[in-house]
Amino acid sequence: MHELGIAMRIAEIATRVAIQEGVKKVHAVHVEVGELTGIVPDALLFSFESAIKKSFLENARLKINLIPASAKCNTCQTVFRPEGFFSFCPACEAVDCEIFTGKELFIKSIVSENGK
Amino acid sequence: MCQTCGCDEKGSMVTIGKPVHFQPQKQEIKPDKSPKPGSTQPMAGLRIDRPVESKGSGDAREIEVVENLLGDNDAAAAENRRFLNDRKIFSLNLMGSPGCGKTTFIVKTIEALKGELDIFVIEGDQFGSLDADRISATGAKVIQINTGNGCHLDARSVGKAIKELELPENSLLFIENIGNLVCPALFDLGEHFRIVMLSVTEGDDKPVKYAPMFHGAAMCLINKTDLLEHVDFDLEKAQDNLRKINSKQKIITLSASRGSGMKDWIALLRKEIQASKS
Repeated sequence: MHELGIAMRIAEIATRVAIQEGVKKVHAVHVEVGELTGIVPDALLFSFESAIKKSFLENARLKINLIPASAKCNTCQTVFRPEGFFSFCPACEAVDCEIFTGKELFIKSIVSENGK
Repeated sequence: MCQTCGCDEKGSMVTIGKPVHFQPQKQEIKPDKSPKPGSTQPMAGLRIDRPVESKGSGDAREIEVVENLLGDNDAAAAENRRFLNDRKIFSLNLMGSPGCGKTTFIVKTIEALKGELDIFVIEGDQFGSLDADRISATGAKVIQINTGNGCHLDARSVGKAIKELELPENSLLFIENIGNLVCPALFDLGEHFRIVMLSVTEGDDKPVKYAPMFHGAAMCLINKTDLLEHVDFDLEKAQDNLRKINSKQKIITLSASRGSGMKDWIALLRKEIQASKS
């Protein structure tokens, strides 16, 4: 995945919302990241730091909540944790599975600094 | 370089031709009000302020945002989908190996629906405009995308082509992807219906060998059935393999060049278009 592009989009949205809401200083940005998105949390944190340098968001912290993947096999209904978008069912080895969680990628909230 | 499949996207020259059409049509096109690529749409209109535990003077506020962060291609695909939905245009992404019969199939579909539906085509090929020439000979409006060293169409180039085509409302858009059973599966173009074509000369084992492609398609067309008696292709085995990979997939067997099975396809297409509008 392209963490820098994602980080820049996080910064863009957080800045827009903060200005709309009259927030003068952003303390933290919360994002939800599914483990199937292929995003490497460390790389995203690093990219975010670079993306917000000398910007309105400077010093804001990125908080990543990593969401585990889950899937259900359409053949035998076994629920399991898939390794990718395309995984074999551990019980019957079918590949026809429905992914429930793990594809999430969204900005959940921003937190202002005390009194700002 | 394309980071998904390693094909050389940036170094190559993706070229989008000019629309080709025998009888230029005058169409009224609504201005494009969809957001620019890279923008994101809120998943929900939710915005709740709530105090957050804090020390010191004044409270910190947590402001709920809940906004999707799409990757570049997904953002462009979402924009395409919005653009097409606004105009009630039904779109198909047709994929399959080189030579499986995609272009012949599109030509026959255009001929079968002449006078009933306005059909427009985006032709993806690595080089040249041979396929676009075949489509334009039917009278349908077509635009050629040449990907150069790229091995798949992406949502951004398709978005540009969609706008060049000046599609009228309620028309049908065919996107013929690059002949390839691997990379095109990974790129959402913003289409409504994804079709993979498998010709009997390729072998009945292809669904399991190129599983992501067959897994992601809503329908599989088994083409060139007129050649079944000449090749070692087990139709039942192929259908079993397809069901193993995608139990919900619709399967139609046909011979686009000879015409058998085309009626089933046209009936299904009409049904899908109807369903998309209700």
